[in-house]
Amino acid sequence: MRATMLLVALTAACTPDIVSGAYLCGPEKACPDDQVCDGVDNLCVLSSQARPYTCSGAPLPAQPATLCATVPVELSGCIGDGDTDSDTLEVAVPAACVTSSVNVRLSFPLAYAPLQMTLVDAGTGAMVAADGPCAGDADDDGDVRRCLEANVAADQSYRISVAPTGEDNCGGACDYNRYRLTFQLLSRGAR
Amino acid sequence: MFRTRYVAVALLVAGFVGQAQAERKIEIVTRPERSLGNRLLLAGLAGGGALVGGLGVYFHLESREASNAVASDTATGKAWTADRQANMENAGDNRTRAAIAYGVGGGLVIAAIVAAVLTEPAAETTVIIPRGPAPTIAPAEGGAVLGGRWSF
Repeated sequence: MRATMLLVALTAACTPDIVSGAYLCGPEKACPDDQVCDGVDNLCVLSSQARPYTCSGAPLPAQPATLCATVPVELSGCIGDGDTDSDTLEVAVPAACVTSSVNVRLSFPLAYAPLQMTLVDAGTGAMVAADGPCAGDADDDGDVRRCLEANVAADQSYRISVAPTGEDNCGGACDYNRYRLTFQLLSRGAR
Repeated sequence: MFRTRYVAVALLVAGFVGQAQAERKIEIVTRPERSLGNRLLLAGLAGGGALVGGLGVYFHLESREASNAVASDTATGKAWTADRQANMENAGDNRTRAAIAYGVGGGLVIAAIVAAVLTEPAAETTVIIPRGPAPTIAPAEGGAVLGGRWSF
Protein backbone atom coordinates (compact mmCIF):
# COMPACT_ATOMS: atom_id res chain seq x y z
CA MET A 1 0.00 0.00 0.00
CA ARG A 2 2.78 2.39 0.98
CA ALA A 3 4.73 1.45 -2.14
CA THR A 4 1.67 2.11 -4.30
CA MET A 5 1.18 5.54 -2.72
CA LEU A 6 4.86 6.33 -3.27
CA LEU A 7 4.60 5.21 -6.90
CA VAL A 8 1.52 7.38 -7.43
CA ALA A 9 3.24 10.36 -5.79
CA LEU A 10 6.35 9.94 -7.93
CA THR A 11 4.33 9.57 -11.12
CA ALA A 12 2.06 12.49 -10.28
CA ALA A 13 5.09 14.69 -9.64
CA CYS A 14 6.01 14.34 -13.31
CA THR A 15 2.87 16.14 -14.42
CA PRO A 16 3.15 19.87 -13.75
CA ASP A 17 0.31 21.02 -11.54
CA ILE A 18 -0.39 24.60 -12.55
CA VAL A 19 -3.36 26.26 -10.93
CA SER A 20 -5.56 28.62 -12.87
CA GLY A 21 -4.15 32.14 -12.64
CA ALA A 22 -0.62 31.04 -11.72
CA TYR A 23 0.93 32.57 -14.82
CA LEU A 24 0.43 35.67 -16.88
CA CYS A 25 -0.14 35.16 -20.59
CA GLY A 26 2.99 34.89 -22.68
CA PRO A 27 3.61 36.21 -26.19
CA GLU A 28 0.65 35.73 -28.54
CA LYS A 29 -1.57 34.71 -25.60
CA ALA A 30 0.62 31.69 -24.77
CA CYS A 31 -0.56 29.65 -21.78
CA PRO A 32 -0.09 26.14 -20.36
CA ASP A 33 -1.82 23.48 -22.46
CA ASP A 34 -5.06 23.27 -20.53
CA GLN A 35 -5.47 27.02 -19.98
CA VAL A 36 -6.32 30.07 -22.07
CA CYS A 37 -5.56 33.74 -21.81
CA ASP A 38 -8.06 35.87 -19.94
CA GLY A 39 -8.76 39.00 -21.97
CA VAL A 40 -9.22 41.27 -18.97
CA ASP A 41 -6.31 40.70 -16.62
CA ASN A 42 -4.00 38.74 -18.96
CA LEU A 43 -3.85 35.71 -16.68
CA CYS A 44 -3.73 32.12 -17.89
CA VAL A 45 -6.95 30.58 -16.61
CA LEU A 46 -9.22 27.62 -17.26
CA SER A 47 -11.29 28.15 -20.38
CA SER A 48 -14.47 28.30 -18.29
CA GLN A 49 -13.08 31.34 -16.46
CA ALA A 50 -11.74 33.21 -19.47
CA ARG A 51 -13.26 36.57 -20.43
CA PRO A 52 -12.96 38.23 -23.83
CA TYR A 53 -10.47 41.01 -24.46
CA THR A 54 -11.85 44.43 -23.70
CA CYS A 55 -10.34 47.87 -23.76
CA SER A 56 -12.08 51.21 -23.56
CA GLY A 57 -9.27 53.63 -23.99
CA ALA A 58 -9.87 57.33 -24.52
CA PRO A 59 -7.82 59.22 -27.12
CA LEU A 60 -4.56 60.50 -25.76
CA PRO A 61 -4.95 64.12 -24.70
CA ALA A 62 -2.55 66.77 -25.93
CA GLN A 63 0.08 67.86 -23.44
CA PRO A 64 0.37 71.62 -23.78
CA ALA A 65 3.06 71.87 -21.12
CA THR A 66 3.35 75.21 -19.43
CA LEU A 67 6.17 74.17 -17.17
CA CYS A 68 9.65 73.17 -18.29
CA ALA A 69 9.73 70.29 -15.84
CA THR A 70 6.73 68.15 -15.21
CA VAL A 71 6.02 65.25 -12.94
CA PRO A 72 5.57 61.96 -14.81
CA VAL A 73 2.14 61.88 -16.39
CA GLU A 74 0.63 58.45 -16.90
CA LEU A 75 -1.83 57.95 -19.73
CA SER A 76 -3.49 54.79 -20.93
CA GLY A 77 -4.94 53.77 -24.23
CA CYS A 78 -5.84 50.97 -26.59
CA ILE A 79 -4.75 49.98 -30.06
CA GLY A 80 -6.77 47.86 -32.48
CA ASP A 81 -9.86 45.70 -31.87
CA GLY A 82 -12.27 48.46 -32.77
CA ASP A 83 -9.99 51.15 -31.43
CA THR A 84 -7.54 53.25 -33.40
CA ASP A 85 -4.68 51.61 -35.27
CA SER A 86 -2.24 54.05 -33.70
CA ASP A 87 -2.37 56.75 -31.03
CA THR A 88 -0.57 60.08 -31.02
CA LEU A 89 0.33 62.28 -28.10
CA GLU A 90 0.96 65.93 -28.91
CA VAL A 91 3.63 67.61 -26.81
CA ALA A 92 4.45 71.32 -26.91
CA VAL A 93 7.67 72.48 -25.26
CA PRO A 94 7.36 75.99 -23.75
CA ALA A 95 9.57 78.67 -25.32
CA ALA A 96 11.23 79.53 -22.04
CA CYS A 97 12.73 76.09 -21.42
CA VAL A 98 16.48 75.54 -21.58
CA THR A 99 18.00 72.23 -22.69
CA SER A 100 14.86 70.19 -22.45
CA SER A 101 14.39 66.49 -22.90
CA VAL A 102 11.52 64.10 -22.81
CA ASN A 103 11.40 60.76 -21.06
CA VAL A 104 8.67 58.45 -22.28
CA ARG A 105 7.98 54.98 -21.05
CA LEU A 106 5.54 52.67 -22.82
CA SER A 107 4.26 49.58 -21.01
CA PHE A 108 1.95 46.96 -22.47
CA PRO A 109 0.98 43.31 -21.89
CA LEU A 110 3.19 40.70 -23.48
CA ALA A 111 0.09 38.72 -24.44
CA TYR A 112 -1.10 40.81 -27.37
CA ALA A 113 0.41 42.73 -30.28
CA PRO A 114 3.79 44.28 -29.44
CA LEU A 115 3.76 48.07 -29.63
CA GLN A 116 6.38 50.62 -30.52
CA MET A 117 6.62 54.37 -30.14
CA THR A 118 8.42 57.12 -31.99
CA LEU A 119 9.01 60.78 -31.31
CA VAL A 120 8.39 62.95 -34.35
CA ASP A 121 8.87 66.67 -34.93
CA ALA A 122 5.33 67.92 -35.44
CA GLY A 123 6.48 70.71 -37.72
CA THR A 124 8.67 68.81 -40.18
CA GLY A 125 7.42 65.27 -39.61
CA ALA A 126 11.00 64.09 -39.13
CA MET A 127 11.58 61.28 -36.67
CA VAL A 128 13.53 62.51 -33.64
CA ALA A 129 13.90 59.25 -31.74
CA ALA A 130 12.66 55.68 -31.61
CA ASP A 131 12.07 53.59 -28.52
CA GLY A 132 14.35 50.92 -27.12
CA PRO A 133 14.48 48.50 -24.20
CA CYS A 134 14.32 50.17 -20.81
CA ALA A 135 17.44 49.94 -18.65
CA GLY A 136 17.21 47.43 -15.82
CA ASP A 137 13.91 46.10 -17.06
CA ALA A 138 12.54 42.86 -15.64
CA ASP A 139 11.57 40.77 -18.62
CA ASP A 140 9.43 38.11 -17.02
CA ASP A 141 6.45 39.83 -15.40
CA GLY A 142 4.00 39.69 -18.31
CA ASP A 143 4.57 43.28 -19.38
CA VAL A 144 6.86 44.75 -22.00
CA ARG A 145 8.40 48.14 -21.40
CA ARG A 146 9.89 50.38 -24.04
CA CYS A 147 11.65 53.62 -23.27
CA LEU A 148 12.42 56.72 -25.26
CA GLU A 149 14.58 59.64 -24.20
CA ALA A 150 15.46 62.53 -26.47
CA ASN A 151 16.43 66.17 -26.37
CA VAL A 152 13.74 68.51 -27.54
CA ALA A 153 13.94 72.15 -28.59
CA ALA A 154 12.12 74.96 -26.87
CA ASP A 155 9.03 76.36 -28.52
CA GLN A 156 8.60 73.26 -30.64
CA SER A 157 5.81 70.75 -30.87
CA TYR A 158 6.34 67.01 -31.03
CA ARG A 159 4.22 63.95 -31.54
CA ILE A 160 4.71 60.70 -29.71
CA SER A 161 3.17 57.95 -31.78
CA VAL A 162 2.20 54.50 -30.42
CA ALA A 163 1.47 51.73 -32.95
CA PRO A 164 1.73 47.94 -33.29
CA THR A 165 4.96 46.54 -34.67
CA GLY A 166 2.98 44.15 -36.87
CA GLU A 167 4.83 41.13 -35.48
CA ASP A 168 3.80 38.37 -33.05
CA ASN A 169 0.10 39.20 -33.33
CA CYS A 170 -1.29 35.62 -33.46
CA GLY A 171 -1.34 35.85 -37.25
CA GLY A 172 -3.50 38.96 -36.98
CA ALA A 173 -5.90 37.41 -34.46
CA CYS A 174 -4.54 39.42 -31.53
CA ASP A 175 -3.47 42.57 -33.32
CA TYR A 176 -4.55 44.75 -30.42
CA ASN A 177 -3.27 45.81 -27.05
CA ARG A 178 -3.67 48.03 -24.05
CA TYR A 179 -0.88 50.30 -22.98
CA ARG A 180 0.24 52.76 -20.38
CA LEU A 181 2.39 55.68 -21.40
CA THR A 182 4.37 57.65 -18.87
CA PHE A 183 5.54 61.00 -20.13
CA GLN A 184 7.88 63.49 -18.45
CA LEU A 185 9.38 66.73 -19.71
CA LEU A 186 12.68 67.63 -18.13
CA SER A 187 14.57 70.89 -18.35
CA ARG A 188 17.50 72.57 -16.65
CA GLY A 189 15.49 75.69 -16.15
CA ALA A 190 13.67 78.55 -17.79
CA ARG A 191 14.98 81.62 -19.51
CA MET B 1 1.85 -68.90 28.19
CA PHE B 2 5.47 -69.62 27.51
CA ARG B 3 4.79 -69.93 23.74
CA THR B 4 2.92 -66.70 23.62
CA ARG B 5 5.87 -64.89 25.18
CA TYR B 6 8.22 -66.31 22.52
CA VAL B 7 5.99 -65.15 19.71
CA ALA B 8 5.85 -61.62 21.13
CA VAL B 9 9.63 -61.41 21.42
CA ALA B 10 10.03 -62.79 17.88
CA LEU B 11 7.69 -60.16 16.42
CA LEU B 12 9.51 -57.39 18.30
CA VAL B 13 12.89 -58.50 16.96
CA ALA B 14 11.49 -58.80 13.42
CA GLY B 15 10.12 -55.21 13.74
CA PHE B 16 13.50 -53.89 14.80
CA VAL B 17 15.19 -55.66 11.92
CA GLY B 18 12.69 -54.23 9.35
CA GLN B 19 13.08 -50.72 10.76
CA ALA B 20 16.83 -51.06 10.68
CA GLN B 21 16.64 -52.01 7.02
CA ALA B 22 14.43 -48.98 6.20
CA GLU B 23 16.82 -46.67 8.03
CA ARG B 24 19.71 -48.06 6.11
CA LYS B 25 18.08 -47.08 2.76
CA ILE B 26 20.05 -44.00 1.64
CA GLU B 27 18.48 -41.32 -0.56
CA ILE B 28 20.81 -38.81 -2.21
CA VAL B 29 19.14 -35.73 -3.76
CA THR B 30 21.32 -33.89 -6.25
CA ARG B 31 20.50 -30.63 -8.04
CA PRO B 32 22.47 -30.23 -11.29
CA GLU B 33 24.05 -26.83 -12.02
CA ARG B 34 22.50 -24.57 -14.64
CA SER B 35 24.20 -24.55 -18.00
CA LEU B 36 26.37 -21.61 -18.96
CA GLY B 37 23.89 -20.59 -21.66
CA ASN B 38 21.05 -20.62 -19.17
CA ARG B 39 23.00 -18.55 -16.67
CA LEU B 40 23.93 -16.05 -19.37
CA LEU B 41 20.31 -15.81 -20.46
CA LEU B 42 19.08 -15.18 -16.91
CA ALA B 43 21.85 -12.70 -16.17
CA GLY B 44 21.17 -10.92 -19.46
CA LEU B 45 17.45 -10.63 -18.75
CA ALA B 46 17.90 -9.48 -15.16
CA GLY B 47 20.79 -7.15 -15.98
CA GLY B 48 18.99 -5.73 -18.97
CA GLY B 49 15.91 -5.18 -16.84
CA ALA B 50 17.92 -3.39 -14.18
CA LEU B 51 19.67 -1.27 -16.81
CA VAL B 52 16.46 -0.26 -18.55
CA GLY B 53 14.82 0.32 -15.16
CA GLY B 54 17.71 2.59 -14.23
CA LEU B 55 17.18 4.46 -17.45
CA GLY B 56 13.55 4.82 -16.40
CA VAL B 57 14.63 6.34 -13.09
CA TYR B 58 16.84 8.80 -14.98
CA PHE B 59 13.99 9.89 -17.25
CA HIS B 60 11.69 10.02 -14.25
CA LEU B 61 13.99 12.39 -12.38
CA GLU B 62 14.48 14.51 -15.50
CA SER B 63 10.72 14.70 -15.92
CA ARG B 64 10.25 15.65 -12.28
CA GLU B 65 12.86 18.38 -12.50
CA ALA B 66 11.25 19.88 -15.60
CA SER B 67 7.83 19.53 -14.04
CA ASN B 68 8.85 21.18 -10.77
CA ALA B 69 10.34 24.08 -12.73
CA VAL B 70 6.89 25.12 -13.97
CA ALA B 71 4.45 23.64 -11.44
CA SER B 72 2.81 26.21 -9.21
CA ASP B 73 -0.16 26.34 -6.87
CA THR B 74 0.02 30.09 -6.35
CA ALA B 75 0.21 33.14 -8.59
CA THR B 76 3.78 33.50 -9.80
CA GLY B 77 3.50 36.95 -11.35
CA LYS B 78 5.53 35.59 -14.25
CA ALA B 79 4.61 35.16 -17.87
CA TRP B 80 4.20 31.85 -19.65
CA THR B 81 7.24 31.90 -21.89
CA ALA B 82 8.63 29.58 -24.55
CA ASP B 83 11.15 28.28 -22.00
CA ARG B 84 8.39 27.27 -19.62
CA GLN B 85 6.43 25.67 -22.45
CA ALA B 86 9.57 23.74 -23.40
CA ASN B 87 9.94 22.59 -19.78
CA MET B 88 6.36 21.37 -19.75
CA GLU B 89 6.81 19.47 -23.01
CA ASN B 90 10.08 18.09 -21.74
CA ALA B 91 8.37 16.83 -18.59
CA GLY B 92 5.73 15.08 -20.69
CA ASP B 93 8.24 13.53 -23.08
CA ASN B 94 10.46 12.27 -20.27
CA ARG B 95 7.43 10.97 -18.38
CA THR B 96 6.54 8.86 -21.44
CA ARG B 97 10.13 7.65 -21.78
CA ALA B 98 10.22 6.75 -18.07
CA ALA B 99 6.94 4.83 -18.32
CA ILE B 100 8.22 2.87 -21.33
CA ALA B 101 11.54 2.16 -19.63
CA TYR B 102 9.81 1.04 -16.42
CA GLY B 103 7.53 -1.22 -18.45
CA VAL B 104 10.32 -2.78 -20.48
CA GLY B 105 12.67 -3.05 -17.48
CA GLY B 106 9.99 -4.58 -15.30
CA GLY B 107 9.05 -6.97 -18.09
CA LEU B 108 12.64 -8.12 -18.44
CA VAL B 109 13.01 -8.69 -14.69
CA ILE B 110 9.75 -10.65 -14.61
CA ALA B 111 10.90 -12.61 -17.67
CA ALA B 112 14.15 -13.39 -15.83
CA ILE B 113 12.24 -14.65 -12.80
CA VAL B 114 9.86 -16.76 -14.91
CA ALA B 115 12.75 -18.14 -16.94
CA ALA B 116 14.64 -18.97 -13.75
CA VAL B 117 11.65 -20.91 -12.44
CA LEU B 118 10.90 -22.67 -15.72
CA THR B 119 14.50 -23.66 -16.44
CA GLU B 120 15.25 -24.81 -12.91
CA PRO B 121 17.05 -28.15 -13.37
CA ALA B 122 15.05 -31.05 -11.94
CA ALA B 123 16.37 -32.58 -8.73
CA GLU B 124 17.73 -36.12 -9.11
CA THR B 125 17.21 -38.59 -6.31
CA THR B 126 19.45 -41.62 -5.99
CA VAL B 127 18.39 -44.39 -3.60
CA ILE B 128 21.06 -46.65 -2.26
CA ILE B 129 19.98 -49.86 -0.65
CA PRO B 130 22.80 -51.53 1.24
CA ARG B 131 23.35 -55.06 0.06
CA GLY B 132 25.01 -56.45 3.23
CA PRO B 133 23.67 -59.40 5.20
CA ALA B 134 20.39 -58.88 7.01
CA PRO B 135 19.37 -61.05 9.91
CA THR B 136 15.92 -62.60 9.93
CA ILE B 137 13.98 -64.13 12.75
CA ALA B 138 10.63 -65.84 12.57
CA PRO B 139 8.47 -67.54 15.21
CA ALA B 140 8.24 -71.26 14.95
CA GLU B 141 6.61 -74.09 16.79
CA GLY B 142 8.27 -74.26 20.18
CA GLY B 143 10.47 -71.21 19.64
CA ALA B 144 11.83 -69.13 16.77
CA VAL B 145 13.99 -69.57 13.67
CA LEU B 146 16.99 -67.28 13.37
CA GLY B 147 18.56 -66.83 9.93
CA GLY B 148 20.06 -64.30 7.56
CA ARG B 149 19.86 -63.20 3.92
CA TRP B 150 22.19 -61.38 1.66
CA SER B 151 22.83 -60.93 -2.03
CA PHE B 152 26.08 -61.61 -3.92
